[in-house]
Amino acid sequence: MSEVRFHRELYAGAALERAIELLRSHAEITRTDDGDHVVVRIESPKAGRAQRVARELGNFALGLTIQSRGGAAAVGTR
Amino acid sequence: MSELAGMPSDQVDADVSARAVTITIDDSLYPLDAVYGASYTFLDRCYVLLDRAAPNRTRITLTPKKDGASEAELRSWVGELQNELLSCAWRGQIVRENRAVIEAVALQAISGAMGPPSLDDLKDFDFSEEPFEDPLGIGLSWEEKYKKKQDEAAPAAAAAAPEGTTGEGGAQ
Repeated sequence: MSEVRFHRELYAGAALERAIELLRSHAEITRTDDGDHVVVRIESPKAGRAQRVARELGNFALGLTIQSRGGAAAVGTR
Repeated sequence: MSELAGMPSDQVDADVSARAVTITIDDSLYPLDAVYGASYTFLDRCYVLLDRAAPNRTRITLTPKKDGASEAELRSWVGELQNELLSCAWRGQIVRENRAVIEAVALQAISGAMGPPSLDDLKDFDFSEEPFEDPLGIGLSWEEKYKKKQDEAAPAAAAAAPEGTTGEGGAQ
């Protein structure tokens, strides 16, 4: 099992939800709240799959958060 | 986690065995938009995770997607990320400082793309507005600026000239 903690100030809630939906077909994903963080647990019977999905989930959530802010992506990308 | 040689230990931690590097930055130096912008450039080659290390400190963890990243590679990513952070923060400040100019230029470009004003637009245009102050006469045409002086100068010159030299048939 892999666990990723997403801070609410840094990740948009809608972006995280969207990322979870996108990757739900690859592993079993559960989401819980823990103070300032959203804790996502990923489980898969395949070896190494949970960790890979957890890392991809982090990138998806970050990318979608940046996209949702619009201006940040424009400033930060060339 | 251990420190990378030559990197500040309070900002950079590297776990070479787990192939990950963590950079902790001060939010007062790098705003969140800069963090997002710099992180975005690493999404194609790294797994990027952001977290709060403290109330005003953000932690960025980079884990390479491909196997076998060396310490030298981790070090180059740290340097690249720090450069990108600085670049994004600086560009963000330039945008903030020049927002009015950028908006004015964009507005002019958009209004120019809409084509020349129609007759109806000109009919509705308010020409009663006070003209801007122009004490040096920069907005005047050459004729407007010097015509009056010429008019004043002409009779004076005629009066000063000796009789018989001003007409076409004057003595040569």
